[in-house]
Amino acid sequence: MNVESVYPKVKQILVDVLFIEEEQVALDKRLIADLGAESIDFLDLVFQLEKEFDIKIPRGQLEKNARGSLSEQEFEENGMVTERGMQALREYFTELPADQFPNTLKISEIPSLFTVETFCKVIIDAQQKAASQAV
Amino acid sequence: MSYLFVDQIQEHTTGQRICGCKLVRPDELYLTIGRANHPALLPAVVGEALGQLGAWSVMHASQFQYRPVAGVVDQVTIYDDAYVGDLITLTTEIVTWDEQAIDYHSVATVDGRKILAIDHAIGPMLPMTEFNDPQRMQQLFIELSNAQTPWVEDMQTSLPSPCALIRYDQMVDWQPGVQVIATKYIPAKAAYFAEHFPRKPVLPLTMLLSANLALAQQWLMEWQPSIGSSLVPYQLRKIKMRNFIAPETTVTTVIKLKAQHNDQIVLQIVNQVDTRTVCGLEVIFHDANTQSA
Repeated sequence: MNVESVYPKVKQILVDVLFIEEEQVALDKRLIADLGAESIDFLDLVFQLEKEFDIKIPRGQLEKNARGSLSEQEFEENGMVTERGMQALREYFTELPADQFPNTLKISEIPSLFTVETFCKVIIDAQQKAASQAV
Repeated sequence: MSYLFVDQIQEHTTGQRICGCKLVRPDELYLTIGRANHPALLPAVVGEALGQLGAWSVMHASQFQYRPVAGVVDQVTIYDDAYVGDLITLTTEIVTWDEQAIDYHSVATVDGRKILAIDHAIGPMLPMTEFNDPQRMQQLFIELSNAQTPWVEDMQTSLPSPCALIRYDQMVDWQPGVQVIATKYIPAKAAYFAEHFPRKPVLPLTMLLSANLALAQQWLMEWQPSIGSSLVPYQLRKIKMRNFIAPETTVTTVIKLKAQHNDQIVLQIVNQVDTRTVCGLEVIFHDANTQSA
C-alpha cells in the first residue's frame, strides 16, 4: 500500500466531487486554494473515499494524523496551532512546498493545508489500521 | 405560504429514528401532474418532507442549538407519485449525527406503497440562530408532536398548471440529445423564502431539483418525441449542494447527456452561479411504460 497505488482512484473521485478536469489534479495540489474545494466537498470526499476503499475515516481523523504524537494541549492554544504544532504539521504535510506553509495558523484553517496526497495518506493509514485489526 | 411539510410527528427516538406524516392537500402550492394523470406533489417536495423530518429529530437532539442544511445525497429513488388526498407516511433513520453533520436514510410510503427513498443524505449542522428562531422551532416541534393526523373533507382539485416557481426563464442553448443551457432568476418574493429560512433566506435544494427535473423532462420530450412523455425521473445520484443560493441570484443550468442504454437515459446536471458550480447531480430517466420501479 502506497500513495501511488491509491492515487488513481482518489484522482477520479476528486474529479467527480469537485466538478473539475482530470488534468487539474496532482498530488501536491491543495484542495481549497488550488482545486476550489468548499467545506461541503470534504464531507462528500470522505464519504466517497470510505465507500470506494471500504474504510472508515472518523471525523477529525485528518487533523489527528497531522498532529502526530502531540496532545491537544501541546498542539493548540486559544484556537491557534502552537509552535510545536506547526512543526508537526510541517513534518506531516511534506508534499507542501515551504513557501506555501504559513508561519501561524488557526486550528480552523488546517484544512487549507490538505492536499491530494493528504487524502492518499489517510486512506493508507485507515487501510493499515483495518488490516492490523483483522490480524 | 409555508415551506414546512411535516404535518405530524408520530414516533420519535431522539437522534435515531423519527416517523411522521404529510397529507397532500388540494390547495398545495407545489403540485404537478403525476404519472396517473392526477394532481400529485412534486417528488422533490416529498424528499423535502423526509429531510425536514430528520432535521426535527436532530434539532431536538441538539436542544435546538444546531440545524442541518442540504449537503450531499448519495441516491434518491422515485418509485411513484403521492397524489392529492394521499397521506404520506415518512420515516427517517439517522445513521449518525453530531455538531458537524447528520447522515440519514429515509423512506416515504402511501398505504404501504413506496413513493420515494433517500439513501445517505449528509447535511452539515450549522448554528440554529443563523437560520431560525430556536424558540419558535422548539414550539413548532411540540405542536407537531401533539398534532392530530391531518384530514380534509374535500379532495377535489383540477389538474394543476406547471408550478411557476420551478420554470426556467431563458434558454441559452437548446440542442436536443446534446445539451441544454438555461437560466433562472430567483426572485426575493418566492413563497418558500419565508420559511427557508426566516433569518437567512436561501433557495431550497428541493426547489432547484424540481426545476432541474422539469427542464430535463421538457428537453427529453423534444429530443425523444415518441417516448418523451413516458420518460420519468427514476433515480437522482450524487446530489450535492455546494453553496447557498441567495434571493435575487441568477442560476445557470447545464444539462448534458451522460449515457443512454436500453430504456434508460442518464443526464448530468450542473447549476452555476457566476460560473461557480453550486449544485450538481446525475439523473436517470426511464420509460415508465416498460419498467416498474
